[in-house]
Amino acid sequence: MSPNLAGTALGIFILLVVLFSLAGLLIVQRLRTERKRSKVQFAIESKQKDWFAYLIEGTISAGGLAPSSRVEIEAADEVLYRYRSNFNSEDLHYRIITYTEQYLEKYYRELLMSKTWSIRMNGLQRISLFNLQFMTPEVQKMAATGSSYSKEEILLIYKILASMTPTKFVPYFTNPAVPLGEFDYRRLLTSLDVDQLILLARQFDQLPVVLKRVLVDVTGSGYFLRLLPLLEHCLDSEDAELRIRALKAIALIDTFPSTSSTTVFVRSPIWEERLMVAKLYANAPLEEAHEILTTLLTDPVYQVRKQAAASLQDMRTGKSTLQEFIRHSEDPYAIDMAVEMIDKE
Amino acid sequence: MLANLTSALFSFYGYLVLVYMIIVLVSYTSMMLIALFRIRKEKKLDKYMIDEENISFIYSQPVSIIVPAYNEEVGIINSVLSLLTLRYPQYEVIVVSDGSTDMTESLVIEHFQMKPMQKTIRQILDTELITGIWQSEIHPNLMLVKKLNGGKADALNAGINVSSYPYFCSIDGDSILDESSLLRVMKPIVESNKKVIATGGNVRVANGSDVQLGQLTRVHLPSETIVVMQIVEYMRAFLMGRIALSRHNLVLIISGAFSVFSKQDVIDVGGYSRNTVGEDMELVVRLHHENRKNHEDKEIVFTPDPVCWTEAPSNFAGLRSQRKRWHQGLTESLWAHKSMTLNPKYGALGMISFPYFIFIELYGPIIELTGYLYMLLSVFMGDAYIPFALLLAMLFILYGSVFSMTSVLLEAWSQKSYPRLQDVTRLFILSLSEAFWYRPITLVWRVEGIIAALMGNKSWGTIERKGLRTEGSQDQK
Repeated sequence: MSPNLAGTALGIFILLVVLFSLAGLLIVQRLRTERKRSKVQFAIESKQKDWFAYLIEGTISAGGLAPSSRVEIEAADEVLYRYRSNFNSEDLHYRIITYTEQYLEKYYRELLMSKTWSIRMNGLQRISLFNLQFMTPEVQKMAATGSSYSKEEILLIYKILASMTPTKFVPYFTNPAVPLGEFDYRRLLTSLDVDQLILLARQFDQLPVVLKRVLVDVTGSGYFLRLLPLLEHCLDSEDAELRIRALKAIALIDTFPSTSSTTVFVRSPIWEERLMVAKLYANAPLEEAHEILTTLLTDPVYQVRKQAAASLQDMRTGKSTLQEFIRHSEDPYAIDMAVEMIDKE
Repeated sequence: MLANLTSALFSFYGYLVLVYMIIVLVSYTSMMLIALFRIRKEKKLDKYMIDEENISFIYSQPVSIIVPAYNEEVGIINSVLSLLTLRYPQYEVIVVSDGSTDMTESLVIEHFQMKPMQKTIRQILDTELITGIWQSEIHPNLMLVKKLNGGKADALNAGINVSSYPYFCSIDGDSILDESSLLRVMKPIVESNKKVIATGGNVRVANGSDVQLGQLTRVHLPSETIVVMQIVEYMRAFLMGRIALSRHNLVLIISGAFSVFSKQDVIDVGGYSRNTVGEDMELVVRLHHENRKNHEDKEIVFTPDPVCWTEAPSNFAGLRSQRKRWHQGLTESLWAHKSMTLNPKYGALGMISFPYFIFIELYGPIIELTGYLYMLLSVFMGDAYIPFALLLAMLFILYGSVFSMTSVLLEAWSQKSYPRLQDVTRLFILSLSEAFWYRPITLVWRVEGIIAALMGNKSWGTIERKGLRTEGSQDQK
């Protein structure tokens, strides 16, 4: 046998041995994992009445459930996660925090310090879910280190800090450790309350463009009427995208600003602005809405026509307006749209 | 002299195949290592917590799920039921019956209590005539579009015309999604701030598993060995190949059985092409082409988490038809965009991805098949050639079997789709046999696909559908 052949044969043989060994290791690992899983499950089931009594009824103290092994720690963590995911009450939150502060602080700290990304993420998720205030210093240390963590971790860290330190989060959002896009800011802002949004709104002109746009979006989708002045301010912005979003947000809040600030958009060269105006005028006084929406029903852009028809449909006299329009209009596309709207009812 | 020439040519070709196999092995090893690191990173992540956070996050993008169906009476109800139970904030389901001649349409209409509806359709993409649109009275987000037959690409384009949302998900009419699949396949798109314009999910074989009301309740390995071999193949292709290529935005194939696209980007490139049987791959390549041509930074990725379960062919005839079509589609797509090959204007896509797909995926079957023939001929050429032939044989085993065995182990370690140890063991042992029978057979079919492409054959062939096993059915052991 030539050396090449022998070498290759040996190499393949070694590889096969390695693979079969790995398969064997995998089987052993799987069996170990299953055994550990069974132990954790047993630990959960053997104390499920006690857990219910502590977390829901409050009839026993946390001391009765103190974990005495790693298995029991993991079981406790699992139980708390299940209860928190399925129930919601102030007392439950308080008892979860009390228990974790007493018995699981070291465990969560270990999770945060793990070299494995997924374990750190799990730790941060738990802190966020359970709202563990006592872990704030640890999370702040992570925020200070910033770029040594992944973007997903940074986002979670900021979300936690916004919740734990409600008046001190703004610098993290305006000057993040990693570049944040729209989706990232949306995730962060949707977890803020209105007072925190107002904090951001006070510094609106200094915010990054992306954050401005998302703040406007969230204002609309969250129905934050207190921020309506901010939205009206944005209608004068030079940023067309910001104007469009402000119009949309105002429409979402089901309110209508002064006519003078909106009619200028009816003839806008930007079709998205006309679309948003069509949406907005569903909330306008009847006489003004009628004229503007029937104009927009003949818009050259399909989406604008559709929205105008939908807004008319939603009005008290909408159906008759659409029927009237069908009778007198010569625009086949507009007629089609009006017919579809009436038919939808 | 003739004998010397023949001998020289024979030796030369042998070395050519040897060099080729070494290049392929190095490529696959690199991909395997990339996949290993990615899988290791997310192995312990609590994905259910992330799903819970994403589902409550109000800014998931709405999606239109388009189900092109041609004579799918066997599996369409289960498929649609699985779609109606998806955990996702906002989506619509559009079943496009592409001129079905069986009970597909009537089954869907009756089962989901559908009524005809008036809907204005924007004919953005040219398609065959749409003859009617129906809407379910019990699931208002479910529509049935009836149209004249025009092929899968045509049906998808019709679905795009009818759809309302900025993203669409293409899914086969016999496929079933896990309830969190849509959430997970949309995650890269949403998290990338729309930089990702298409994602593909993981496709798994559902044969042998239990299905109840459109949900997979228990995963089993099927009894047919030919289907088990396909499971091994899917593991290898998805776990190794696509994870690695996706990492660097070099994916040229995301499965048509389960993929999500940005509607506007697809419309901008003209929708699905009707001129190929590999319309899913051709669209992806065209999107890449436009992206690079316009110097845009958009990405197309594969994400291994979300799973789509599909019925694999359970006999040789069906498998042959499928593999022939896939390879024909690959040939046609690469040929249509051949200008991208080794073209620095297209960056890593032109310099790495295209050469990989052409020289390894496309030509691979020809070279491998001739390699097998070479080994056989060596027996007649004389003793001098036998050691070399044995060397080649060992490399083929390495390529054909060892990588598959590794994929099975990776899958068992990370995804745990087959929790039973006996299933994993069976997969592992059978993957060892791949190089000896399954791979050579599929090579022949893939070469047939190349020939079909060269001859301009547009036929899809037929694959018998048996449907997936329902819990409580008589064939359950």
